[in-house]
Amino acid sequence: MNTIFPLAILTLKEGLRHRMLHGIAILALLMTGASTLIPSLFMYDLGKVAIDIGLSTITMSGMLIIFFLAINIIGKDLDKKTIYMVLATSTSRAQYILGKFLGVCLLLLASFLFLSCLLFVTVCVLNATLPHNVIANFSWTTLLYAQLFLFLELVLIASVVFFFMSFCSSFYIALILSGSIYLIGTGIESVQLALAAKEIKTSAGLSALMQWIKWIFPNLSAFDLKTLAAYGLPVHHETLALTFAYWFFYTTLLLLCTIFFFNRRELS
Amino acid sequence: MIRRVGFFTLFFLLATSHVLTFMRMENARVHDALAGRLQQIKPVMPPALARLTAGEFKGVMADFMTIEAASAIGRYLMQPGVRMRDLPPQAWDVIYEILETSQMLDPYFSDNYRLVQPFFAWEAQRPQQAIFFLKKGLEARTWDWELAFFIGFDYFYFLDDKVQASHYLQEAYSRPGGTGSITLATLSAKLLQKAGKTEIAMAYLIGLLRQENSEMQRKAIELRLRDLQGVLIVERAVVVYTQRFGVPPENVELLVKTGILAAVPENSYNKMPYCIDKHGAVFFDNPECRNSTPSKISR
Repeated sequence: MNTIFPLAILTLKEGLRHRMLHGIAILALLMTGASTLIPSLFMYDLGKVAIDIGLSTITMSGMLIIFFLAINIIGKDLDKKTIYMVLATSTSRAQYILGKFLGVCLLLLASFLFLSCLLFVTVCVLNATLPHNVIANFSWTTLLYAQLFLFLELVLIASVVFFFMSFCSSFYIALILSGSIYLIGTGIESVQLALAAKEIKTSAGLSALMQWIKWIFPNLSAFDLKTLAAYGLPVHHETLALTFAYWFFYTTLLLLCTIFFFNRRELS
Repeated sequence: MIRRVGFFTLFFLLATSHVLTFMRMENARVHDALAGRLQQIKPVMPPALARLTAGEFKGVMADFMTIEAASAIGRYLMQPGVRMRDLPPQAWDVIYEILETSQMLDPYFSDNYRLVQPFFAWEAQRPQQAIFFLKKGLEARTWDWELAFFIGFDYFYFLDDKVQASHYLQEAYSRPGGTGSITLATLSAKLLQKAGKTEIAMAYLIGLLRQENSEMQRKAIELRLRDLQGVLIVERAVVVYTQRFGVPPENVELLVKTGILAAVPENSYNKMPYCIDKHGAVFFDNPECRNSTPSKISR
């Protein structure tokens, strides 16, 4: 722990100093501004639109941080060989991975907290300025749940990126692979539901393959509670608890695999 | 100095050219669209595929599809001097496809239904399409009584299907928000009566009466029940009369004269006389039923 935390703090500081983060922050601020203006284009579900845009801003900023900033930070360590300096001390490869991962998570947390505060302000402004029936059934608790699970999703995606970074020779390949996993992860549940409802006609072989795929790829739709938050729909606590457990085991397993591969990687 | 003047001159010329080009381009694009090229805003993928690919940005995508549909209605369909119902069907098809995609992405989104009801049921004269769309919303928005009311209204007003209309008004009444409006329930019963299902209407009202605690609501239900009790007596007598004489009676007094009824029951609905039309249908709210086309609805 004595090695992991300083490494995490260093990664956080490095990330906060990075110019890319400033760009992401400006984009996020613009989108937050849009989330207060765009709802006025609608007639009824104005609150829903504001929450949609606000939560999507958090997701998008998190994705940009993971896919560009985090990959850049770790890739730079490998490219510029600065990783040797760290590993030359008493830091093990596992500690290096965990420290970096924790640092990226802290970076995500910082961005998440900043944007969540902005979203809260937006919702408060809308609640104060618009008639009460505009945000019908709105629930702060559901919004908090949605934000929390969104953060968990970002951490899971970060673990996917770390997994690919552990063995890919180029961080562009890791970026492409992680991006593909993200796309599959967000769509896999919809495809399964469509297959179950026979909306998509496919061969039996492909259906069977889908059954296998779902065990490998993360089901990111499970963490998407935007619709629940936007409409104040009832939350099933049991499902949320199971989703949390799923997140915990999947992320931990992936981190273990990351450490396993990274320990065997030849750092030349 | 010369360089500065040259720079500003160049800037001014470019800015003016930009403004002029942009205005012409915009006009040309609107002209193209008005010329029936609404296809350019048609969604590039089918709704189901859009849902699969939107990932976790379904909500935002649905929002923007709805804006696209609303702005297309404003830009292309609301043309001065042209009635919206006279527009080519292809124009409405494109708008419907955009709204359908938005609905597929977010079936809870209320704005879509508020666009479909006035524009598709009324302006485009496509009540069936509107009903189909609204029914999907009814499944998703389980708390929304207005969608059920819209469907009921469309069935009654546009399709003249009183039984379905009554069914959806009952649905509206059973939903939160609609429960407070007893008019939905009494209107539903009235429609059932007009569809020749007076006994079912009464059974529905009796069922409601058992559940209802509010004194005001109970009074309204009892009043409508009294209306229907009177109608039922007259309706049964009309059946007997028709069986006996081969034609329905011209008025309610004939039922008394022929001894089928001992006395005409009092019509509790504004104390109006009952009216029997040429087909033997009994009206408790339209004493001129033989001379007039049936009124759409009241109370």
